Amino acid sequence: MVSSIFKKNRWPIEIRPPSGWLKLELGAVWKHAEIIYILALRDIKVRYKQSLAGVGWAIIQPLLTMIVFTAVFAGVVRVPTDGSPYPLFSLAALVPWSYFVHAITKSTTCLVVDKDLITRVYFPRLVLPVSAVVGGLVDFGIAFALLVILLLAYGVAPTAAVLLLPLFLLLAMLTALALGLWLSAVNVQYRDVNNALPFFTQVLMFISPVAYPSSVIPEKWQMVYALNPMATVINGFRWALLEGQPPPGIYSLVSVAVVLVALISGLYFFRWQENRFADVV
Amino acid sequence: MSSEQPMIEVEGLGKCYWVGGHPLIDNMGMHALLERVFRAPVNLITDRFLKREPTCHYPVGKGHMRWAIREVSFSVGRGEVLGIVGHNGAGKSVLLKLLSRITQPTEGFARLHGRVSSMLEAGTGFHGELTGRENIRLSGAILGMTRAEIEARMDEIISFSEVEEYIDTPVKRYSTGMVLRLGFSVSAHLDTEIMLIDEVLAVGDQRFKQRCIEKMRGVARSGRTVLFVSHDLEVLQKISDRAILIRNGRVEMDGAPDQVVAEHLATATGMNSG
Repeated sequence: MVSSIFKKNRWPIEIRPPSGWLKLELGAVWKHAEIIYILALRDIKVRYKQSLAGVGWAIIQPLLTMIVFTAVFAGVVRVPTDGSPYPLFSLAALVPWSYFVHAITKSTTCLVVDKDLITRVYFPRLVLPVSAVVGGLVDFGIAFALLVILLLAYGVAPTAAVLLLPLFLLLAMLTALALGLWLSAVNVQYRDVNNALPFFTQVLMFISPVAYPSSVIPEKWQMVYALNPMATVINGFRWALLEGQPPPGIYSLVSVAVVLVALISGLYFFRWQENRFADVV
Repeated sequence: MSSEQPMIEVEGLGKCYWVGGHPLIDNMGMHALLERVFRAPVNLITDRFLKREPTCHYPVGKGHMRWAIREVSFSVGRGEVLGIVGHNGAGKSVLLKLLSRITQPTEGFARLHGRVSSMLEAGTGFHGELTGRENIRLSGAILGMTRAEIEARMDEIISFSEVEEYIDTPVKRYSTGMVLRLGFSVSAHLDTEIMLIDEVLAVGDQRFKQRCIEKMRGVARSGRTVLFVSHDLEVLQKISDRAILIRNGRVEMDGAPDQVVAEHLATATGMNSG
């Protein structure tokens, strides 16, 4: 009478002390994709439920930052923008940047926030940071809509490069996930990570071309500058959306390489630490 | 009762924990951090090559190791209800945590021939911000069920739990009893081959207790295996086919429920801690 639901699974389940080579078992994460969906949905609900501005928060933050940036960097300091109106120039960067900060914060704290799940039920723990990164996409979508409206208002038409926009978004997601894997696993034991995170993202913003164009960086430093993948993400967003912006150069490959190394090492680190999460958190 | 192949085989299972201040957790100072960075890899390598007994090293700080359970071996057949008896701190809950894969053993192994649903410490991995209905979906998803499979059982789960009225309210607003009923209902109705239940009956009222007992019997009759921890010895005797007594992390006795309970009660008087 036991239902056939689980027929497709392989038996038996072996429970042993951790030993041998670490396997990533990404297939198990895929099999639990439904959890990613439910948890991402929950994050969105929680974010907007007991709040007055609700969905507005997704827009308020980048919008206000854009206004402040425009006042300071276009009005006072006069930062070059490669020919684009400054509000557009900064918002095109602030939208992916806000997503990144949101995703990295959520994924860093996910294991501690979902302590109740971790200490009571088994599932591949990788599901948690992944759902944090995916859940942030809703906010991104709302903020992106604001960006589109502003583009229309300024009468800026996108070029064919806009088709590559999803790739740059993917790069932002993977960057957030890679950092989130490392930081969340460490945060389980050392909550210092959580305290240091706002400072870390703030510093990262200054070394990313959010308020200024990356063309102000001297050529010989461009390669070093591209070690920060968010530089490529932002350059990509500007290039895809604003006519006349330079394409992210060959150094983008440096960013991609950095993300891949961080992501793969992060996956292994996370898996290595995973066994201890329930005991330590 | 039990058929050819056991559903759960446990062989020499052991788990050790740090007690009294793990040097790496409780004093997160520089000294401990350096220990971890330099000592851990060395231990990892020497363990592998010397095939050393799996124990935890890092002899720093005031902490010491304690085996929560050790050399635990038993097996449970299909459709069998196994009661687990023992004093507080004997290791019952750790055993269930190991079998539900929440934590990993230090030594030994266990083999489970089926999917496990568990209800450990009345909470079952519910999320407070999600509604009852969403939590049911979450539990199903955690077990790897598809959305259609979960929806098919939704009504049954809700009606057994008797929280219909609040099913679309976030679980954080539920009373303890409501969470408990929903939790039990979820693990009883999601058709896993193995069900692990830790002390559900402690919080419920008499009527709910009665329904749980009936449900667990029904679950076992349908061929599912139930492992069940309780301090309610009367109930345990009533529904278990067999029982094991765990004392100081080891299986002290494995046999008929009334004999195991009698043995447990006999030792209870000699103990100074309950």
